[in-house]
Amino acid sequence: MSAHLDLLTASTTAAAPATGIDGALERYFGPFAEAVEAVVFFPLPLFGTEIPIIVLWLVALGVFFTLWLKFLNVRGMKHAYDLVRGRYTSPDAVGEVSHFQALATALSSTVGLGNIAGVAVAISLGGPGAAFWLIVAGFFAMSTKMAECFLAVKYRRVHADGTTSGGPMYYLRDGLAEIGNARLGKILAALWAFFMMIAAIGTNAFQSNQAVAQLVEVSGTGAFGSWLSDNRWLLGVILAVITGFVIIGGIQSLAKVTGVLVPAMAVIYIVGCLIVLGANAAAIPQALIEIVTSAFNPQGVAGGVIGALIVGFQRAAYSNSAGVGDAPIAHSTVRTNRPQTEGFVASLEPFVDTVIVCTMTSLVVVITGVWRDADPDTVNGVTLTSRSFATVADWFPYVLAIAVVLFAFSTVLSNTFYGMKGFGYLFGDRKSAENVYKVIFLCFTVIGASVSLGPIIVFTDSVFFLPAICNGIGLYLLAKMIRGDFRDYWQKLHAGEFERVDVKALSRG
Amino acid sequence: MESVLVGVDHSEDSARAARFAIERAAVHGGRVAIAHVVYWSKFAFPTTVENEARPAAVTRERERAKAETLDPIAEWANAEGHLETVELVTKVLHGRPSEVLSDLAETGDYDMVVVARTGESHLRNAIFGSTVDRLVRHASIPVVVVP
Repeated sequence: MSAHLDLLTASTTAAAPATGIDGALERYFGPFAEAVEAVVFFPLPLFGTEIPIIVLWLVALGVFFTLWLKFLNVRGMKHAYDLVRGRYTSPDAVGEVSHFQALATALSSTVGLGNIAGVAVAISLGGPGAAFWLIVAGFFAMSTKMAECFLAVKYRRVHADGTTSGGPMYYLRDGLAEIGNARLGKILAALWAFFMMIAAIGTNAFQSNQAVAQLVEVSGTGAFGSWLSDNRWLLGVILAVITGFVIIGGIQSLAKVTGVLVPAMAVIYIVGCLIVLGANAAAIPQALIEIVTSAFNPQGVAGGVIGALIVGFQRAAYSNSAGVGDAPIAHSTVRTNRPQTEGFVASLEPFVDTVIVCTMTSLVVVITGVWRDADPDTVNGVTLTSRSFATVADWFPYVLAIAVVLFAFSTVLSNTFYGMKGFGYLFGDRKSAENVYKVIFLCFTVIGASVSLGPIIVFTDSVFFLPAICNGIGLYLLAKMIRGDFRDYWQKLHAGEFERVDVKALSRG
Repeated sequence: MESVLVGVDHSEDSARAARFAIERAAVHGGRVAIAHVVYWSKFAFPTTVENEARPAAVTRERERAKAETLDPIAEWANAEGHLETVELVTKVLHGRPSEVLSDLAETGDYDMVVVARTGESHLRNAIFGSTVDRLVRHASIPVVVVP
C-alpha cells in the first residue's frame, strides 16, 4: 500500500467488523472504491514521498492562475466585496439573482463537512502544519474559481424566458470552439458532464457518511447508541427518503427551509468557534506559532513537510472544490452583463470557505489539543472537531450534529443539481432516465451511511476529481482569453466606466 | 397638481386604499401612482433550483401583480370615470416594500403616500415589524394610513 493510501485509510473508524446490512454493503463497496482510487490517485514520487497526481493537478491550476492573473485574487478583493454589496448592480437587475445570492448559493453547497471534518482529518494526519498548507491552498484556489466562474457566465446559454444554462460543459464546448478546438471542446464537455454525474454521487456518499457518523457519535454508547451504530443504513435510508422527497417528489419547500437553516448553522458554528477560542484566548498566539512552525518543520508526520503539505492541499481541494467545475454552474445564474464580475465574486468563495472557516476550525482543534490524544485509527474527522468543542461546552456536539446533518443535506441537494445538469447536457430532458439516475444517487446515500469512512473517502476523493481533469485542461487552453478579458475589465473599472450605485440606495435594496 | 403614491399588495384592504386615493384625487384632479412591491432581498439565500428559475419567476411575479391588483384597480377607475380627472400610473417593483416606498417618497415626485393598515400577512413582516410601521417611521413625506 502506498504512502498516501496509508494517510487516507488511517482515518478509518476502526469499529468492530460490521455485520448485517452494513457489513454486506461494506464487503462489496470496499474493493470497488479501491479500484477507482488506484487510477485517479496514481501517486507520483516527489522529494522522497509520493503526491497524488490529482492534488498536484489542482494546486498547479491555482498557482498558475494566481501568477497568470498577477494576484488578481488579492488585488480584486475590495472590488469583489463592492460587487457583493450591490454597488455595481444596475436598477433593472433588481429582483433578479444578485451577486450575493449567487455566492450564497454556491457557498451553501461548499461550506460544510470539508470545513469541519476535512480540517480535523488534515490535522490528525499531518499535524497543525497541515492547516497552514490548507489555508495556502485556499488562497490559490481563489484564482481557479475566478477563472472558471467567469467562463461559466461568459459562455452560458440564455433561453427565451430569460433563464440560463451555464457551466463547464458550455464553456468547454463553446470556448474551445472559439479558439479553433471545437472537436476537443466537445469531447471534454461530454466527459466533464459524465464525470460530474459520478462525482455528485461520490460527494453524496461522503456527506451521508459523515452526517451519520456524527449522529452515532452524539447518541452515545448506551443501548440506543450502539443499536444506531449497528444499523447505520437505517439513518441512510431516512436521509435518502427525505432527499427523494425533494429531488424526485419535487417538494422544494424542504430545500427552501434548508436554505434558511444552513446560513444560520454556519453562523452558529462560527460563534461556537469564537467561544472556544475566547475560552482559550491566552493560547491563541501559541497555536498560531505551532501551525506556522510545524508547517515547515512537522514532528512525527509521515513524509515530513511534503507530507503535511499534501494532506493540507488535499483537504483544501476537497473543501472548496476549485477546479472541479461544479460551483460555476451555481454562479452562472447571476444577473449581470459583465461576466468578469462573477469571477471576482466567486473568488471570495474559497476565501470564506477555506481561508476563514478552516482557519477557525484548525485553531479550535489545535488550541484544545484534542488532536494530540486522538488515535487516528479510532477517531474520524467530525468526531475530532466535535470533541474539541466538547472541551469547552459539553452540549456543543449536539448542535454540531444538527449543523453537520443540515450541511450534509444541503450539499447533497446541490450535488444532485450539479449531477442532473451533467445528465441533462448528455441526455437531454428525459424524465424516466432522470429518475433512474436519481434513484442510483439515493442508493449511494444509503451506501455512504453504512460503509466506514475509509472506503468512502477513497471513493469520494477519487471520483470528485475526475471532472477536474477535463475542466483543468479547458482552463489552461482558455487562459490567454481569460487574462485578456480580466485585464480589459480591470482597465475599464479604473477608468470609471462602470456606474456605481450610491450607498444609500444600497442599504435600501 | 397633487401627486399621490399608493403602495399595494394582493390584499383587498390595499385595493381599498388605492380606491380611496383615486376617489380623493378625482375631486381635485391629480396624479396617482400605484406601486406593487414584490418582496425581494438581494441578501437572501436561495437554492440552486430557485436561482435557475429566477428570471422566469420575476416575469411571473410582475404579471401576477399586474393581473391581480393593478389592472383591476385601473379598470375600476376607468369604469367609475375617474380617469378623466386623474392621471393614473401603475408599476411593479422588487425589494422590501417599506424601503422601496420610502425611496420613492424621497424622490420628491410625490406629496404623500397612501397605504392600507393591514395587508398580506407576511412572516418576515411579523418578525421585523410591519411595512406600514416602518414606512411611517422612515418616510420623508406624510403617510396616510387607510384602515
